[in-house]
Amino acid sequence: MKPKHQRLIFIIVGILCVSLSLSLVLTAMDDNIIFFYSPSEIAKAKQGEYVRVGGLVEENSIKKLPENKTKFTITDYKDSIVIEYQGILPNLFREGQGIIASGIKQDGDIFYAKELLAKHDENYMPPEVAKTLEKNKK
Amino acid sequence: MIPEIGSTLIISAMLTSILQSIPAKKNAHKFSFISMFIALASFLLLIYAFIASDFSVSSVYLNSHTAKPFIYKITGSWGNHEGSMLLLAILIIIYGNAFYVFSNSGKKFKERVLNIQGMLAAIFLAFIFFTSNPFERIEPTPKNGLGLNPLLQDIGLAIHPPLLYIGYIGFSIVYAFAINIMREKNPSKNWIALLKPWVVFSWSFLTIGILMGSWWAYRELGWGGYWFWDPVENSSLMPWLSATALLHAVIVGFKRDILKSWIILLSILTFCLSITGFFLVRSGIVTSVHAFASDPTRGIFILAILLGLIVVALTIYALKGNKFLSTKNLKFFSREGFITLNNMILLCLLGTVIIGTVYPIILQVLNIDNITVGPDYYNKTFNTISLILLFIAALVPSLKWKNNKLKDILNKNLIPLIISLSSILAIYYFTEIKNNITIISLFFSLWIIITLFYIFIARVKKSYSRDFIAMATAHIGVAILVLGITISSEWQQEKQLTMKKNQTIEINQFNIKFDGITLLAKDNYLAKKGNFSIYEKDFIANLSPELRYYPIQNKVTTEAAIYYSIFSNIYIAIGEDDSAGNYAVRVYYKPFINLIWCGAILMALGGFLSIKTKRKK
Repeated sequence: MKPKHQRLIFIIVGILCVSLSLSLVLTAMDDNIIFFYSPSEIAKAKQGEYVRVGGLVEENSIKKLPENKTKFTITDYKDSIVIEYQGILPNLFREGQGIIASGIKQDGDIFYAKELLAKHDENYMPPEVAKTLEKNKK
Repeated sequence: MIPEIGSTLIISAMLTSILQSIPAKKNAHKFSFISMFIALASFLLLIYAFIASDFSVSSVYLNSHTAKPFIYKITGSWGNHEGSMLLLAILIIIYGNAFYVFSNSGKKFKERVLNIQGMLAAIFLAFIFFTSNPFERIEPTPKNGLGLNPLLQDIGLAIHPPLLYIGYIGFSIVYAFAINIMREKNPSKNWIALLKPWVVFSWSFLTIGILMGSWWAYRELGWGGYWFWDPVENSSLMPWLSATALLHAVIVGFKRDILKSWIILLSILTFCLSITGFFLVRSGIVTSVHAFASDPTRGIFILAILLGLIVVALTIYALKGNKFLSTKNLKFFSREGFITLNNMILLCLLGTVIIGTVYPIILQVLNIDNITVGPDYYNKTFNTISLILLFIAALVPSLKWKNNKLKDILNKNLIPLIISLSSILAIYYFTEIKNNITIISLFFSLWIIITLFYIFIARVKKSYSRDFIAMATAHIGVAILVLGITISSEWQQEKQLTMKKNQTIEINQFNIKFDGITLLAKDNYLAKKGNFSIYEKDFIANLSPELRYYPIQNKVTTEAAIYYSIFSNIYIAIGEDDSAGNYAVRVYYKPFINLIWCGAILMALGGFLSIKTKRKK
């Protein structure tokens, strides 16, 4: 076999590997894309979808409930949404902080968060949240 | 005064680096040496500014405070964007010098490599001087600084960037080498042997750097996790995958004198992925737990550098790359055949990570959608594809170079397979694993370990060679790493609850009693320390997780407490108390998680062992 032909075989095997991986990727990606919504957009999300919602924690909205639960409201200066979370709060969680909550969207006013994301720097605002705030300030 | 000297030194180092990159004079190594001293002096002045708490210097103001413990004042100098860029530039220069001193390449070749190194150093130093000067001043001088993020006040995190950078920047030499080997009219016959030590050294440090980052996250972030498929973590994994492919390609190339073009392309790719890593982390383009303060100008500058590197390298490859095309064939059923397959699989893995990381960025930049890729994507793609890699690693030690007979291979693997298979059946019978990937990972990992020990014990010829020991160490490291990941994921237990004083909970075979809270006051924080005692039948240990409040930054951190035993970790984190004085507690039982750290260390150790290559006879 000429080296040139073997190179061709390599390329074909390579393309095969890539195609198989791509098909894996496409199937996995479909099920695992998590959309981000601001409080004013969250109505767009489908019921039962696992989504992320982000905004600023509203002043005086944090309430501690029994069983390690916390209820608070986040806003994007246009709309707000009530979030309930069970578990230890992230360290940066406080009023005025940019927070992203992820969970399954259900009917009703409360968003039950499975995870809360807050970065470890008080100067940080998740870019998605910042963008929405900018848009709504105008 | 001192900061101005620091700035001047940066621009001087840039100038000497530019002089270093001029090919005509053949004294690149002298300029490289001078640049090193100038740049180091600059960095020492930066450290001095941090120690002296000179808050007229912007980066000191933003990242330090008089109350910060001394050692963290020092480590804070590289724990921020500007300081870390300076560290990167210094490493580029040091690697140039190291290459000149330690490499056995010809003098002319070394000069040319240093020309490229000089260009790289000059570009980085220009970037620093014009967009990220650590010595930038602020007026008027503040009384005190904004303090350092308490999460960064940890030894693990202080070492993690330098180790990682030693890994990343090592590939600058690999890149410079590749560029110049293409330009050589008559490349020396053993150029792969000359390249190999630099690939292996950099890979080993990259491995340790990533390990340290994971270990830090495990201890510090309070959730018992060590890898989150976070874009910043991915940006260190991507060059690592490419580097691993390169490492294996170089081994094959050294032995059989093939895959040379491939090695050159991988050399270019790995360094470019390192630079891409910087771009992702520092341009503000990703939401991440880790991302540095963002600045779009920096992002554009880095992107421009990246494009320049790619265009230059690929142009040279297009013009001059064909002298490396193989004249030999390889057979699939051989060691080199399977290692080539390993390279293809590694690139597929790289592809899945690139897609998962970049796809959301593209959607966001084009304002189409705002998405995150969930971790399960990686479980389905990366974890599945890596099973093939494990299979190859298990099979290859029994494969000879050039050619093999199926019967021989089956014979060699019979006993290891019997042992692994029976172990897996036993595990399956006693524990009922539901996840297929878990079973397969365990099987392949066991097979890898047993095969290597089997070869060693059966005293096969050459099994005591340094190369074999290095390979065995690294691959056993991989198997142990996979075992650690698989076992701790599959059998981990977690309990989240509120506990009152003297309450006990049970987790796996342990009983954990909450003995109450003590209050502490330290240098720069106040803490609520949770006192827990662990019992099995008898008392085993105390654990004291803390909830710390840093008044200067108005910031709270959780310090998890971990009990390390050989077979498992008990991991406890506490949260706030509720109105009744009960505390939120999170307890994890993590079986065999220490295998992860041990495995990674063995991998790096294997790397270090294989740096010195035997001369080919």
